[in-house]
Amino acid sequence: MEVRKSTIDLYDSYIEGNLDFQDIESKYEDDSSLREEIVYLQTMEYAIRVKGLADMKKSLQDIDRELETAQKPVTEKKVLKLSSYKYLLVAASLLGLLVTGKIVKDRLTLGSQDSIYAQYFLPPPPPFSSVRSNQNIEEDTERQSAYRAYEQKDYTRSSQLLENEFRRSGDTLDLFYAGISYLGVKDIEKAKQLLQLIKNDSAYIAKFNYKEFIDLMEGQNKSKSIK
Amino acid sequence: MELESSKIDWIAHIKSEPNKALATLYTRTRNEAVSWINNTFGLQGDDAKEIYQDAIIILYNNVLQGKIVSLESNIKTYLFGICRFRVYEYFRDKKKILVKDDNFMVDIILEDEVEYKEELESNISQMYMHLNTIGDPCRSILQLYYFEKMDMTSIGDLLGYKNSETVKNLKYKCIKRLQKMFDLH
Repeated sequence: MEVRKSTIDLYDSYIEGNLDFQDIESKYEDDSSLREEIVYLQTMEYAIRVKGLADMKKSLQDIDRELETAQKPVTEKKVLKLSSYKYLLVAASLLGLLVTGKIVKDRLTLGSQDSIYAQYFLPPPPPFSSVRSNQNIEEDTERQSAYRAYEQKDYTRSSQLLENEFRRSGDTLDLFYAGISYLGVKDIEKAKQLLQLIKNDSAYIAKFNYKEFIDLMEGQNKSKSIK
Repeated sequence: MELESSKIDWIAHIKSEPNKALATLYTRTRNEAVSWINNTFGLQGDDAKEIYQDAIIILYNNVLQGKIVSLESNIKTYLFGICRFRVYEYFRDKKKILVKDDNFMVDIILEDEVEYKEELESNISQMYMHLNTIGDPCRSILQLYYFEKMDMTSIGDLLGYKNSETVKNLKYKCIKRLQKMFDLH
């Protein structure tokens, strides 16, 4: 059996919505070779769709693995703390009596804060509609600027703009992203003040495990997991 | 919930940028959905995640097939509704569901088929294998046209061909090539 070009065109008319499948069936009623070709094309179409869905599912599974890695900072924190401890021993032996244990501890905390920031600050993407809305209303433009600054990781600007947006809109979405922006500039106290206001909203906690991140930045070990 | 307040037209978004839209949707909703499946139905870990991933896949297929053009409810309600149905299937036929291969996708595609289902399943498996090895540009052209339902002009623009006729000719050659592989098997 060889699939003719005319049969492909016929089948594509159905794919493009110009023909019903019944129209095709009526054409091959008395033509067994046409029927065979159509069945082949239909099988091919089905297989392509199966593959498309399977590829998409694989993408979701990949995202899943990434999310799970991102949500397990506590285990990795132990590794960090262990390396900090080793560093403490080395530093203490080198500096001896010149440096007190407190100064060493403070310095280590500062150093690991940068390291924690680099490793664990994984801000969620901005809300799609807020960045790409094309409405020319002035207040929407300001909102877009705020989220665009956030998208461009200009957290100094986005923290201010989004806090203003929150004051204007009262929308917890703006509040959430303002808080994350303050985390982006390592202003933990300010971030905590803002994020405290939505601490019980599980949707936001799911979006970014910010409580755990704050605990890590503050060097606390109390957080186990937030779900 | 943030998904409602942001007022995203998810159906349009999935149609225009499926990978991005579904990745965003999944990332934003996954934890809540998995917790909900855990708490409501007592399904744990991988099973709950698998069910939610399948719900997203069903949503995607329904959008592509034009089975949903707009949502009466919000996207979360719709997805959770699909989850409920998948959980029902899970309890009904635990052996069949959640096997980590592509049988589920075949079931989705063939759900409206009644005739020659077994023969179709076997042929689809073979064809699927060849699609994995056919390579580009054939794989992309066939997938964009028959799966994502893009027109020839848009495919040409996306893949950098000068006009729709070129894409159409290429598609024809790809089908012939795939058929050759299928016949040789």
